[in-house]
Order: sequence, then C-alpha cells, then structure tokens
Amino acid sequence: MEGHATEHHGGEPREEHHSSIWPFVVALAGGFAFSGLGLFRSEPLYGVVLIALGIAFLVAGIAGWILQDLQGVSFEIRGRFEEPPFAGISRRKLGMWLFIVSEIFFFSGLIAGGLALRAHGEHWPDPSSPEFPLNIPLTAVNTFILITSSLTMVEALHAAQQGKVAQMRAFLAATLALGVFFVSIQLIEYWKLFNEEFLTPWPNLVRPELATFGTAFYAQTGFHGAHVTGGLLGLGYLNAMAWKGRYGKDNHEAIELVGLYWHFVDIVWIFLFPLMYLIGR
Amino acid sequence: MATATHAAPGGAAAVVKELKRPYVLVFAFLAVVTFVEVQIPTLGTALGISAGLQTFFLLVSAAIKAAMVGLYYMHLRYEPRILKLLPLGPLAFVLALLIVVMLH
Repeated sequence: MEGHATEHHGGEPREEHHSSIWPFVVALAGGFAFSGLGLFRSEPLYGVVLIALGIAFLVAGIAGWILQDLQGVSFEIRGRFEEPPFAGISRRKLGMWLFIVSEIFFFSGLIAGGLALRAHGEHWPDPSSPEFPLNIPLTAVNTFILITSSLTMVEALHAAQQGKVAQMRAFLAATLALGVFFVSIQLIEYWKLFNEEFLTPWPNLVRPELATFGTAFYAQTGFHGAHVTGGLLGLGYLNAMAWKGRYGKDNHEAIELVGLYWHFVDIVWIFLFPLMYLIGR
Repeated sequence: MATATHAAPGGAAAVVKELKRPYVLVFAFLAVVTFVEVQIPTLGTALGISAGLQTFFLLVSAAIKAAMVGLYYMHLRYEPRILKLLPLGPLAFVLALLIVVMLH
C-alpha cells in the first residue's frame, strides 16, 4: 500500500492513501471461485478446493477492506487530472470508464462463448418457431423498461446539474423502481422457463435438446441480471443520499458515475436481447 | 437550445456549459427501433427475408442503439477525445473474438 503526506491536519502530517491491496484480494477470490466452478464437473476435488479458496479470499478481502476503512484510511479520490493525456478529466470518471472497459472485455468473452455454443451445439431453437421457449413479448416489455430507466437516469443527472433537487429525487426513485421491475420480471421469466418450459442450464429428461441453449441463455442473462442487481445497490445508495440532501448543483458526480455504469448495463442488454431472443442459428 | 452555467463536479473551479440535450428524442428512437426489432423474426419469416439478412439487420440496429446510448446518455459526444477513444480499445478485442468465432 502506498501513501504520502500531503497536508497538515491539526499540526500532524496526514497520510493520504489512494490504494489498497484488498480489492486485488477480492479479485483473486473471483478468479479462484470461477476456476473452481469451471473445473467442478470434470475434476470435482480441485473444483471444491478452488471454490473454498475463493470463498476464503472473498471473506478475507472484504474483512480487510472494511477493517482498513474503519482505521480511517482514505481511498477518496477527487479532482481532475492536470497533466496530459487526461488533462481536465475527473479522476473518478476516468476510473469508472476504465472499469467499464474491463466490463466490455468480460461481456465480450461471455457473448463470444455463447456464439461458439450456438455454432457448435446440436440444436438451437428458432425464435419464429412455436417451440421457442423464451417469452419474446414479455422480454420486449422488459427491454422497454430498461431503456426507460436509462432515460430517467440521465434526466436525474440533468436535474441535479440544474439544481432541481425535487426532480432529481423523482427521477432517481423512478430509475430504481424501473430497475427493480426489470429484475423482478426476469426472475418471473426464469421461474416459468424452469418449471413450464423445462429450459435449464444443464440437460434435463423432458427437453434435453435445449441444454446448450439453456447454458448460453442463463450464463449471459444471469451475469447481466447480476450486474443490474449491482446497479440497483448503487441506485439505492444514490436515492438515500439524495433524500439526505447530499446532491445538488455543485455536487452530482456520484450520480454521473452510477449513471455511466447503469447505461453500460443497458448497452449490454441492447445486444443480449436480439442475440438470445430474436436471432436463430 | 437553452444554456446554463455551473461549477464542474468535483469542486473544480472550471465552469462548464450545459446544453439542453436530446434525451427524450434518443429514448423515442431506442423505443421505435426496439419495437421494429421485435417484429423481425415473425415478419422476416413471413416476407421471406433470409435468416442472414435478419441477423445483419438486428446486429446493426443493436450497434446503432448502443452508440446512441454511449454518445448521448453516457455523454461521450461531449467528452474530450481521449475519453471518446477509451471504449474503442476493447472493441478491437470484440472484433477479433467475432472473427475467431466465425472462422470456426
């Protein structure tokens, strides 16, 4: 961990830290756990060991992070870059964009995996066939809900920039509500697909031909749904802080940053919806 | 276009100009294109449009919709060039992946 004395606080030089080992430990946890999940079917023992390591690293990472925070170490990064090539750009905004870039890599790999399954699987259902298991009209409505939430999100930021606090709160609440609707409808769809259409991520006895499609479908929409759920946590925080009067004309960067993430999740769905629901093989 | 000025986020002293941006127009565009996309599997089959052409239309329309969200809702249109270029890096990776998948 690095740090340097930058200012005096009560006569003592205050250490200002901008880095921590714990996010890296949490990332390692993800690496172990997902490797374990990947190995689980072919090498159950290694799989279980890696998953257990992942959970242990996750607990240690989160505990260490919280402990460091409780000790008063500051991770706060504010202000703008003064030197090229990012001169004038907010440090936190650049951080969010770099995170989004990493997410583009992640979803690209996931979608490419889905395309490979589509190309090599023995069976892939045709969206124009009555046998197609997915509910296109319901998910079209859900897509509309997510697009609407992107509009309310950007309007919340616009209202904050103009100092219209009541409008900002209303748009933030609307975005949160629309996001909850989206996830709820997706969960209802999952339940119906499991129990009525027998679409599972693994082979089942009733419709074994759908196993490959099910794997691709649940992997891609599931990871997207998890990202939407993460966005809802951010939106919940924004709503709470907005009602406490934290945001306004001169302080709205948090809304912009969560908004960037939310719009990115919308973009991922813009591709996933046609790929999984509208395009056959 | 209405204009307003305010202090930039992050407490910086710089003053930026806010323009009235076409958020609702972009939303209408996204909604209409999504509606058209949903009709493609049924209409395309009824009209005898090949599966390849349907796929091409759906992917191009998705790319245009994604670009609209990126440019207007994520404000890339108004950002400095270096930030506009940042998301293009992984797009090269996306293209490489697509080519590999298509070749196999």
